Order: sequence, then C-alpha cells, then structure tokens
Amino acid sequence: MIAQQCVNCGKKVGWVVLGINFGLFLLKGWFALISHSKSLLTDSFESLANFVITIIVLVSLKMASRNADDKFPYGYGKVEFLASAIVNMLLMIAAIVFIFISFSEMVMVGPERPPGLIAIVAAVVSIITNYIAFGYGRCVGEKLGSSAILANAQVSRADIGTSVVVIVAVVGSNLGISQLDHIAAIVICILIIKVTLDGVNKAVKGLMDVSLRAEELYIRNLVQDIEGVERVGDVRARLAGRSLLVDVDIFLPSNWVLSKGLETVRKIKNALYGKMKDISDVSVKLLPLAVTGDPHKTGHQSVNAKSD
Amino acid sequence: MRQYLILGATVFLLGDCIRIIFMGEHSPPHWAALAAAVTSVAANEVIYRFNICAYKHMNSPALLAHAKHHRADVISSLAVVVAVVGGAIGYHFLDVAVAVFEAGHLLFLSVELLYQGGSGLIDRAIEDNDVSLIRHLLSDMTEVKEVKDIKTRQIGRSVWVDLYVSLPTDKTIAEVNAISERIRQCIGDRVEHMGNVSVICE
Repeated sequence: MIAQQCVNCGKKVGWVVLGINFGLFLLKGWFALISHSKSLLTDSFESLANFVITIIVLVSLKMASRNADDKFPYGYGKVEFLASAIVNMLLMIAAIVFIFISFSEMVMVGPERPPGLIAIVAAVVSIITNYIAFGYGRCVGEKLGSSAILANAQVSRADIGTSVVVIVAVVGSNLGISQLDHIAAIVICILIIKVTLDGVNKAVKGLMDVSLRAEELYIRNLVQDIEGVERVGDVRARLAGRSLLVDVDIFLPSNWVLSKGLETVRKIKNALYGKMKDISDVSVKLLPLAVTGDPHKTGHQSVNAKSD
Repeated sequence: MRQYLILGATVFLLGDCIRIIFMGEHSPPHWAALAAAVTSVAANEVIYRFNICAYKHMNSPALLAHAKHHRADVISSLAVVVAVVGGAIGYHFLDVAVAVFEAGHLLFLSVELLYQGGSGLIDRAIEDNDVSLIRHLLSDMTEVKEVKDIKTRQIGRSVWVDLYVSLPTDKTIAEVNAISERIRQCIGDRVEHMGNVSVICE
C-alpha cells in the first residue's frame, strides 16, 4: 500500500521541479551574460531543456492515470515509457548540437577573456537546488514506482554534475588555462548524453515488454507454494508504466473440474496481490497434467483462468 | 526516427518559406523543376503501391508509414507541378504558397505517423470491426456462457487477444482446455494476422 503522503508528493513533484528548472534557467542565463561564461550558458540551456522535459513528464503522468478504455484496453501506463524515450532523445539531440557549437567556437574564435568569478555563485545555487530536487524526485519516484519521475530525478542529478564542471571551468580559466570554459561546455554535453542514453535504454525496454527476471522468479516461488498447484510452467511479467501485468501457467490434475481450478486461481491471485503492491492484473493459465505426471505429454492446449 | 526527420525538415522548410515571403528575394522556378516533379510523382506512386500491397499482406506498421510517406511525396510533387506551371504563366506567388502547403501537409503527416507509431507502442487495441467479429464468433459458440471482456493489442505485425469468458464450471480442466482450443482455432481462422489468443475463464 502506497502512503498517502507519497501520493500527494507524486501529484506536486512535477510542478516543484518545473518551477526549479525555470528559475535556474533565468538565474544561470542572467549570470552567464554578466560573467561571459560559455559553460554556464550551456548549463542554463540545460535547465531550459529540463523545464520542457518536465512539462512532457507532467502531461504523460496525467495521461497514464487515465483508465483503460476500448482504444487502449490495457490502460495508458506505457505512455510514461513513450514520454521518457521522447524526452531523452530530445535532450540528446540538444546536447549534440551544443557540442558542435562549443567546438566550432573554440576552433574559430580562439582564446577569449576568462569568465567572471560571479558565475560560480549561480553554479553553487544550481548544485544545491538540483540536489534537493533530485532527492525529492528519487524518493517519490521509488515510492510510486514511476519511471517518468525517476527519469526526471536523474536529469536533476545530471544538472549537479554540469554545475560542478562550470565551477572547475570558471576557476581554471581565471588561473590561465585558456579554452577551459569551452571544453567544460563540451564535457557537460557528454555527461548529458550519457544520462539520456540510460533513459532511452530503460524506456525502450519498457515499451518492448522486456522480461522482468527477478519479479518472475519471486512470483514462481510464491505460486509453487499454493496448495493444489502440481507444477508451475511459464511465468511472464511485463510493465505497463508503474504497474505489473502477470501471466502464470500452472499444471493441475486433468480430471479436476473448472470450479476447483478457479478456486486455486483465487488463492494464487490473493497471494500475489497480497505480496506484490505493483501488480495490476494477473492471468493464470490452467494446463492439464497428464496421468503419468509428465506435463510435456499434455501438448500445447491450455486455458487461462481469471477470477476476481 | 522517420517521423522526427520529417518533422525537422518540415519546420526548417516552413521557416525558410516565411523568410522568403517577408524578404521578397524570390525568383521563379525553372522548367527543369517540372520534369523532376513529374518523375517524382510517377516514381513515388509506384513505390506507394508496392508498399501498401506489402503492408496488406504483412500488416507491418513500418511499411504503412513508409507507404504514407511516399503518398505524401506524390502530393508534394503534384503541388510542385502546379507551382511551376503557375509561375510560368505569371502566378509567381504560387511557388511560395505551394511550399507553405507542403510544409503544412508534412507537419500533419509527421504528427499522424507519430501518433500511429506511439499508440502501437502503448498497446493500442485492434480495429472495432475485428473486435465485433470476435464477439460475434464467441456468441455463436454454445459452450461459451458469457463474454465478459475482450482485450486486444497490436504487437508489431501480430494481433494478440485476451478473451474473458464464462465456461461451464462442471467441466474438467481437460474438457475446458479442449473448448478453449476450439475458440482459439475459430478466431485464429477468421481474424487476420492473429499472433496469440488467450481464453481466460471467469
């Protein structure tokens, strides 16, 4: 059971992160103009990108909460994966563009005067604020099991790294290491690309119904202990956003009547719903066990059973 | 990826057209553009027909997207023909107007393809006609006491169906298994591109 406090946090986390990112974009952008820091300017654009990302996350969370209907009978949970994939790809494209811009400026323009030390103030504020946003987002994302909120929290963490790089660049440039500001901007983009690649990887796995081995093993062990189950066949679990859809094959004596089989199914479902909070649907396939006790001799015929 | 490329190209094209309209630095197109456009219409129409034929046989969303892309190219090239002919008889504004039309057309296409591709990834149901057909087939089977729900989803080229039905509870697991096999066989024979049918007793 998810605590009410976590549910409430889940409703407002997007808006909090949205406000933080827009505020940081304005602050870092302003300080970048004052201090002439290229790396801080890149960092501010990253905050702007995060702002756009958060809007997409908010829309996807709203859509994912819709109930199943005729058009999407399994619900809208996977919208979170789709939004996560789109957001991460957009951010990756932006990072690649920034790398080209920084590189061309470094080569074409050459050494410039070092950025003002005031840029460090904005970077420190960014680190503290993003650390708070990351901790808040990770807490809510883990409690609610939301990939979209967790992806957004990772973006905040990436922003901490970029602000650290800004500080190094500003200090280094003022100590006489020319071009460090441009190099820092490129490093920031590489960090962003790494985070987005992880995000895309997770989202694609969710969209492609990747097998969840740890959960499947846990379910198998639970079902094996249910009275009446002779043997557990295939166990398949897939994610629909935050919730889990489960299919289990079990072997029962072939002379059992269906009502008795449905009774076993009820026990299985009670056990699974009781032990695993994320499960939203369970389908149990009843397979007749051959007289010899060898399940393979029963062929491929099977029937699924569901009882609520 | 195709949708993003089309969307990016469209936004660029639209921006360039708006720039030309406001800057006024435009010259009429050459007749060579007409030959290229007519060739493009014929070639893209042929490719469209090949792809749409293959899509009907294989039910591949990628082939459908590819076909629609080429049909859009046909329309774009026809618009170019209009623009070039119009420019030749004095209607120079037609060239820019057609470019704006093309940008708008491609924008709609990319949004449509994005929706189709995206909804396929989040388990969109199959066509209503096919669901009605499945319901009708089940109602004709005497062993099926009640159809509680039909959940379908499109997985790439295949259709996956979960049928929530009531079967006689006094039948043995082996007998119920035989009934569900008949249900699977019946639906698999009538609904195209069937990948998997699960009969779930309630």
